[in-house]
Amino acid sequence: MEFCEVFWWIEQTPVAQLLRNSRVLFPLVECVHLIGLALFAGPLFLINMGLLGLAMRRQPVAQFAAALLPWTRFGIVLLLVTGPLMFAAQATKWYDNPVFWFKMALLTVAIAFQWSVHRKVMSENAAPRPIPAKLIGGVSLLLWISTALSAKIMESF
Amino acid sequence: MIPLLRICEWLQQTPVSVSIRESIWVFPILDAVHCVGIVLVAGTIVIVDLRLLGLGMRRESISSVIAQVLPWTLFGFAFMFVTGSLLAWAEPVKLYHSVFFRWKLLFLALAGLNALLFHNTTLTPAGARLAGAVSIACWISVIAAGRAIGYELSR
Repeated sequence: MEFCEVFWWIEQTPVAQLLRNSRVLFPLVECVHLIGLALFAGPLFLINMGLLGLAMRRQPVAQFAAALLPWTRFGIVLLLVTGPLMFAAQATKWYDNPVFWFKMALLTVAIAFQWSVHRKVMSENAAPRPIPAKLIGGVSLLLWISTALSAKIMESF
Repeated sequence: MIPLLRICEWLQQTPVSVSIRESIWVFPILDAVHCVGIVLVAGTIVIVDLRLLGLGMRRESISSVIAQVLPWTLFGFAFMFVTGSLLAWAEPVKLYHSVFFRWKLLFLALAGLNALLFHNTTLTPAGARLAGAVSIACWISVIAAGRAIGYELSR
């Protein structure tokens, strides 16, 4: 089976057809995706601003992150459920969209960065060294904002 | 009194409106920044709301959470407001006829009123929980109505 046939097959699954043909279901899934993004990105934005030394001056960033972890995780679950659903509904359309591939590449890098470098900085008990912390906060911020912007722009491409 | 529709028609003919509408990339870029702005506003204010509801950050006092989070909510709001105004400027007549745009403005006003009341009155714990719940409901509605406008206009 060729690569693009996989996309066609995904688009033919009952769930994908249901979403594509419903006038209410697809926008609803989109809204849940945005709510998930808010739950995930709100705390992450503040954490990164904290790493940059621009916010969260009253408490360690790690403590703030830990306090909101259940909600951040809930946001990630919402994103991971609704994202693939929206993709499946129009899989072949996305196959031909270069901005979609750009977004997925950015997302992969952002997730990899989050799971490796970023998480390490956050879990450090001692105050992280200022320069790497600033750099890591800035890179994370740039990666996620670019991912979100390209996600919206790929709709009009 | 000049009818609102007349004002919208006049706005639509201004050079700024025409150039945003006719540009291929300006509108989608404004739309994307607007969307990120809303996510930022909702994503930060929800931290305060969850604290008010007693569902997160309970080790911190409410005032401490607000002091840390609110400046960034306002920062996001500035992006959301500027880009939102420009988007509305580009298509005022369509938005005048949009039902969901009216809902969105209504829920925005409710969210603002709720925040204003919260900051200017001394609330009981039950009152604070109510303010948190109303805020979450308002912002979910703003997001939902906003998304619906997109579908309404593209039809």
